[in-house]
Amino acid sequence: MTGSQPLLSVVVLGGDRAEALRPLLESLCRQTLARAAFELVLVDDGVTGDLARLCDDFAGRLPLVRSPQRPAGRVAARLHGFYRARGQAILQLEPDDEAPPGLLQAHHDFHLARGERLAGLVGPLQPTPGLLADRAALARWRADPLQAAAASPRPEGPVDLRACWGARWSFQRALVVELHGSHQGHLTGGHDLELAVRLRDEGLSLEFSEAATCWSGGDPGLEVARRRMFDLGVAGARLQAARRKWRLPPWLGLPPGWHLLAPLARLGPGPRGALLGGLLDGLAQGRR
Amino acid sequence: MKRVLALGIYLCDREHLAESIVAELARSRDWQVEQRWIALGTSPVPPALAAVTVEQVAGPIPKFALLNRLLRGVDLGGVDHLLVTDDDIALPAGFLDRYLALVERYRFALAQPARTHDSFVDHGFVEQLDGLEARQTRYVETGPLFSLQRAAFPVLTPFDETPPMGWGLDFTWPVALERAGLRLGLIDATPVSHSLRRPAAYYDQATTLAGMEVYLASHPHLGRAEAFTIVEPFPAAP
Repeated sequence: MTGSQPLLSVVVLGGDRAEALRPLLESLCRQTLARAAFELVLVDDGVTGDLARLCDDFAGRLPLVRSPQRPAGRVAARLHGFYRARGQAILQLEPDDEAPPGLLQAHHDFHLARGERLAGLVGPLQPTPGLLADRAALARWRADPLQAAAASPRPEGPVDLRACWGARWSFQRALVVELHGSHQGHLTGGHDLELAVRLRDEGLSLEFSEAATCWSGGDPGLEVARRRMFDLGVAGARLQAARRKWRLPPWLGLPPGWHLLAPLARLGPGPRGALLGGLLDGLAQGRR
Repeated sequence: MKRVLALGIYLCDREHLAESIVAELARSRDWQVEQRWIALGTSPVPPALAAVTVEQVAGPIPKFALLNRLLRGVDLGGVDHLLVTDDDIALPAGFLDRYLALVERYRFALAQPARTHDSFVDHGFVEQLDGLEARQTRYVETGPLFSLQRAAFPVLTPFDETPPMGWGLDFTWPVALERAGLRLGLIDATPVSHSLRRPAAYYDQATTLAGMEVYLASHPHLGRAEAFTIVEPFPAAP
């Protein structure tokens, strides 16, 4: 990379609606990190609404690269974003995230200091201030076992990726563009999980820091959240089938003997039971 | 009609797809295609390939040395595109017309079709990216198929035979082309299947890799992370 290129690339897949991105873009404008030190790669894979206008609104305030493609699924869009990024390190954010003012500084400084191929940084995932004001939505957010794990307090320092892969973590671009490599065609649909598994297998050394706290505002509603958990279960089961020695439960936040507890878990109260039920149904489907 | 010179090498002692490649290239409606192939091995030249086989070579000779032999004495003055292909790929129907139309639309001096998802690939970057028609990149692999537009002939031909089997050329080519103000890219809309046999199955990879390291040490080149970059994406039509 040359000196004129940013050290950190923030990669965001466009999501469903252009306007839903506005809080994230606003929060990225308020970063303590200088604009020259990062770029925002926004993969436009069929975002509905007036994304061009939204990008125009932020053109002078953010180092924004809008990268279009025909809608082709999250795997293709994600790879597109990785390959389009010019930074030495990549931080993936979701379209309904918001970035606390120090988020990019934390990731930037970490990779500036470390710069090793296998170094990565993760912080806790916390509900956005807006989500905290909506009790029902907050209950659904906290019912997601991955988000609950990502929100858990933990000591600063090395952390096992299995415990927090649902959080927002950064890694060296070189690692991922070389690693994705020949395996792209084998992605199962559980690509977030599969990418995490592959990076951990490769030896990614993840550090946890409160300074890298990210806010998540996603409240897709219970049915969509349940469907996501179902898809994750299917993908997890397929990954397990492809990797016989791979241990599934720690990645999905399931306790040992989870299959014995499954009938009870489904009966749990509220959204937690519904989401766990979705995950277990997906696992069963994926095993068939 | 514009002219294409297609160069190819087939392993006549092994299973190959040269006959179908030759036939597919010859079906072009938009291009006048001349084909020049070398048969590598001792088995008889198949009848379907006799007309395009200009030489048979028994011994193991590196790929780019053979390609330079095919180019020797050829007047490239009237050639618009040079297409170089291995013998183990399956081309989609109508490949050449669609592929070169996109190469010209996006002004790629060096280009290659992306690989299908079921292909053997050494670098996943060359695998088809769904959702894109093409992408300007900083990397085009030395096989199994690539093409040079006329402007790249003086930059890249005759091919550098220093690295065994051409390994490493794909990291020096972008430097040379970018210095000349030329663009390179991948065409995702016309992926080719490279699944007949694993790349580098018939030569010593360790020796070839060591040769590549020696070659790169003395030639300006990109690192992998720099090379595997999309400079500009061109979305597929909805």
